[in-house]
Amino acid sequence: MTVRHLDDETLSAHLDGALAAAAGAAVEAHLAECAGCGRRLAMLTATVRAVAGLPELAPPRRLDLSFLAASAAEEPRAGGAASRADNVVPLRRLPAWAVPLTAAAAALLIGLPLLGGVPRGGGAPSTAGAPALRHIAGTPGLSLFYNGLTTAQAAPLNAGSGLAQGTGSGGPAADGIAASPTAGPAALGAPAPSTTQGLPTEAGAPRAYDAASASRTFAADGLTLSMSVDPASAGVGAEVKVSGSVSASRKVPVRALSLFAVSADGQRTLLGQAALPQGSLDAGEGATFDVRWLAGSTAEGNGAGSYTLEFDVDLPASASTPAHADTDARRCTVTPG
Amino acid sequence: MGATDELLLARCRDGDGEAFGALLERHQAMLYGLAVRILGDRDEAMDALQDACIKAWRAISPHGAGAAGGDHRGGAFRSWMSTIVSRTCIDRLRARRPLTALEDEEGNILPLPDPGPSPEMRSLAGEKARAIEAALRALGADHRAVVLMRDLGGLSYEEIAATLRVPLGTVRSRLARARVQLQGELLRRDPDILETPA
Repeated sequence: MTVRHLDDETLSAHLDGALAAAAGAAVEAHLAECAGCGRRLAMLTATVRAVAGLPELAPPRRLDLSFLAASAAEEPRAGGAASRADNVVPLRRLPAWAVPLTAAAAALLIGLPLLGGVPRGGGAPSTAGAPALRHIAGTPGLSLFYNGLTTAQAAPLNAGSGLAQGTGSGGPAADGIAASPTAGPAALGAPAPSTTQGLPTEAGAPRAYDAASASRTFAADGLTLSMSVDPASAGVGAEVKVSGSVSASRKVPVRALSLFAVSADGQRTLLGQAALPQGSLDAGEGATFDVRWLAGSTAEGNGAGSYTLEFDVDLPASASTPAHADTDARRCTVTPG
Repeated sequence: MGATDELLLARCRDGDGEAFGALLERHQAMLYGLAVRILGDRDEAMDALQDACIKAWRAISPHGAGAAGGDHRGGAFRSWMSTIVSRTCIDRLRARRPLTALEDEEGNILPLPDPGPSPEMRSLAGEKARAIEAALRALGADHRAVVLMRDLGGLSYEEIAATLRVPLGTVRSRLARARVQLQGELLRRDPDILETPA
């Protein structure tokens, strides 16, 4: 019987407490019997400690804190890489929300077609190009998507289903999932006609996208998540306002809110992130934040195509989690299949 | 001792600039240390830190909210600011070289421009620290950044993934490769660093 040693990636992840419980136990069992892997882990640990132990360094000059004096009405803008300067956005606390509770989970997604590049000719994209949305990770049944590219209909992902496509009726789902391509966050209803193909048209103001919104309650977590996409201005490559809101029905530990754009090839771009320093929401309390995104712009440049917008709520790690493995995003991912 | 980070953060949410200044004063050496090691350039690191501070203040002040992201290494502000500083540095790295570079699986694309024997480098305690700095500089920018974000900045895998805009699995594999490469560089320079206590 041959001994299969632990690879570097496994050792590194084990060092960070980033392995699943079963995998971690298997690693421990191997380490108990394999001195060679034990030595490799010790070396890797020493390497990590060497970096962690590097001294702090005093800045060579004083920080310019004149921006602190600016009024809220004249918020300063960071220089340098301006496109990312907007990725940290204000989080504002909302008045108490009275929200019903029905379901369970902590991530919400809206997929919508976007054109961020050079306008193409009019007309709808072919069905062949329409993405099927596939639930590939996370807890089944926790995701919601709106596939405007294909049918402009909303369809919930059913619990346990490996594949879902935008062919549903678009009305509120039985378990309380609902999405609307045109209505506000609280307005759920029938899908809009298939006029949101995401392509600029010759008549009227060209639209690179349409408004979309979704809301869902997660009873087990005591959370309700809502997100919306608002075409802040018309035109190809125009700005989109993406908002994410969360409210709590009881005291819930919530650390951070994040909005992502996920391209068809799976590239995930953080659009904005906000955090709750107190680390929790009280019963009836809510928080929201929004980002303005130049539609289709990502770290890789400007790309036309279909994007999924994702709203994640990061919950604190469980008490038993090692210090560094500190995020439990309960994230679901939906990508074009 | 003064106010705790938590208390200062609460004051920041009320628009108290002095509280934010106090937090920066408290943590700027750690944050600058992270920035200069990722960027390898003192002036650019200073600019990045300045940018990050403005971004952070914009995030905290207007309507009240702010920091979080991990309770390790002395609290939420430190961790949150580390994430913002890292992101700012990565954006600067991307801006000064091909956009695809950070996505390359092999790393090692851009050698770190040696900032030279800066005053702060000279002030490092002992040969070991200098050897560690040199070993880090020998890594490619991608590998260096991921190691520093994780092991110096204390960012979680998820925070690194969001900062680099790569999948979680890429963070995991890249971090492992970077650590192993760094280990090799340390062995070459000063094997004693890797001696582990019995």
